[in-house]
Amino acid sequence: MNKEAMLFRDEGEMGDVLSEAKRLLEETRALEENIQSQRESIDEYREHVEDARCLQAIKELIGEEVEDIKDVVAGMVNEWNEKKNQLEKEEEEIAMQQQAILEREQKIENRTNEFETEQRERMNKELQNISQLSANVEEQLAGIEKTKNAVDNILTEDTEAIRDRLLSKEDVEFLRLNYFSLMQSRLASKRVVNPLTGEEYGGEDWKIDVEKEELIAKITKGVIRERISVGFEIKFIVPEDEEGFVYRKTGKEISDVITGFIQTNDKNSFNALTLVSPTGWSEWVIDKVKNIRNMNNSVYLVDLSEREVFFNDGNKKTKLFAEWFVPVSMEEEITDMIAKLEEEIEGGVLQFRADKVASKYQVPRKIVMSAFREMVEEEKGEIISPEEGAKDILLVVR
Amino acid sequence: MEKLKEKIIPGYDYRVKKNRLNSDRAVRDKLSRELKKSYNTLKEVSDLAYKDGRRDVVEHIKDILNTIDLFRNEIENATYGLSPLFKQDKVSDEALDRMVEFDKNLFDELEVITKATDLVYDYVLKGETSDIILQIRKVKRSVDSLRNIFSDRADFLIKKTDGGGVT
Repeated sequence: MNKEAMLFRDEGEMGDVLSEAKRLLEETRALEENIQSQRESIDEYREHVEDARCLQAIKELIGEEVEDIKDVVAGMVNEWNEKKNQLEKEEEEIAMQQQAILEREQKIENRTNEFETEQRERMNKELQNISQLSANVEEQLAGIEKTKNAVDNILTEDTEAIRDRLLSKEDVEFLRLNYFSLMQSRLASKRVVNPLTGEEYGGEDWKIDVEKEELIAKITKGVIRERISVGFEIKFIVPEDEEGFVYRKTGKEISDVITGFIQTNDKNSFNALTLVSPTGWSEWVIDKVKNIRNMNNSVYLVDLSEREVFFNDGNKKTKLFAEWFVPVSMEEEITDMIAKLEEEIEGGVLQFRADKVASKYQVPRKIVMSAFREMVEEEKGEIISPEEGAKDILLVVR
Repeated sequence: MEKLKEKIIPGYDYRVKKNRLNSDRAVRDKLSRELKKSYNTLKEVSDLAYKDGRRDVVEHIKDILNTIDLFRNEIENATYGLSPLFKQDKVSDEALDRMVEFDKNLFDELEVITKATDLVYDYVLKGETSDIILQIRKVKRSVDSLRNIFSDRADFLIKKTDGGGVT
């Protein structure tokens, strides 16, 4: 019996299985590629979605923060605007204040300029005045300088001459002793007549009393009642010293002495007041004495520095006795000094020191120096000054 | 190259000397396994044809099955240990490209054979078998073609021993 085929029924053809297989494989590959590309697309889309989700989440997160920040920012903006407005107002006020300050400054500057201009003008005037004054002062200073120089020159050149005018206490004492000695010798050697009574007396009639500063010589008469017929009162007036030296002329300080003397008046007694100054008398005193008018009394001023006597030469009685009080002249004293020095030279002395000579012979230094100079002029000696090493001025004999 | 890697992974890489033998082994294992699948499919068709009394179909399928058997033996027993490709450190890029091209052609043909045998089986199940002998012959020719490609590949590998070289 024929068995019927179960599968191999030959109901159709297979076709070209190889070609179909190749086609299917290509389709499969294409599908795979498509699937792959779709997978890639899906992956890409997934990434996009993921990114989008992330972005959304970020946005949501940021959104909340942004709202908060917006509120904060809005608050800050409001605050900022308020402060800005406030600042603008303040700026306007400051600008106004600045404007006011500028105006004030301008005014002050104007005033300052005016003041400066005035000050400058004043200063210029002052400067001109000062310049003028300065010129004057300079002129005066120049004059003073000249005078000073002249004085310096004089002082330098005439130191010794100035020294001659200064008298030490010893010089004054020598002058007093010499003058009183001279007066005593003259009184003793001369006859005297009372010009008021005509009574005549010899030298032996004088009663002479020498004290420290005065010499009183008087002639008296009468037994029961002694009266002065002729009286000479010689007062030695020494001005105040300065550092041990006497140089001022005597002046008004003796006016009381003169006044007191004039007021005593005895009509038969002739009295004379002789005031002796080693440095001379002021013009005022000399003028007064020259004009004294008194019937019985006479006043004399003796200047031992210039060897002069001042008196009222219009009064005969006064003029009569003026010769009595004239001091020894300078020339006589110098000649006498030179003679004494020459005696010593002959005795072997070869040099003389001025201070020692003055002390030894009790003469003023001026006389010694004058004697030295005359001897130098006569080429008998040579002077060595203290600047050259001597203790005092020396006269060295040639 | 990437597709081959996907099909033959792991270890398909001729660039490094130590991986070359493994890559060749992986290619050959893949060929053998896929051919075994086709072999089983065709054996199933042969059994069905035998049951339906189609001794002619059985004979033709037997012919292709024998061919596949022989081919699998060649594949599994092939030894290329002396090939310069596996002994030399440096191999030219052209030689490597040629190897990859051989492998690609092998797998392209192998896929067609596998798919075609599946189609044959499907048509048998549907009863559309009027031209089955013709289609079996076509599959047999495709297997022969695959065998030729493998043979050319083997020739390329052993060229060194013949005085050629792969470098």
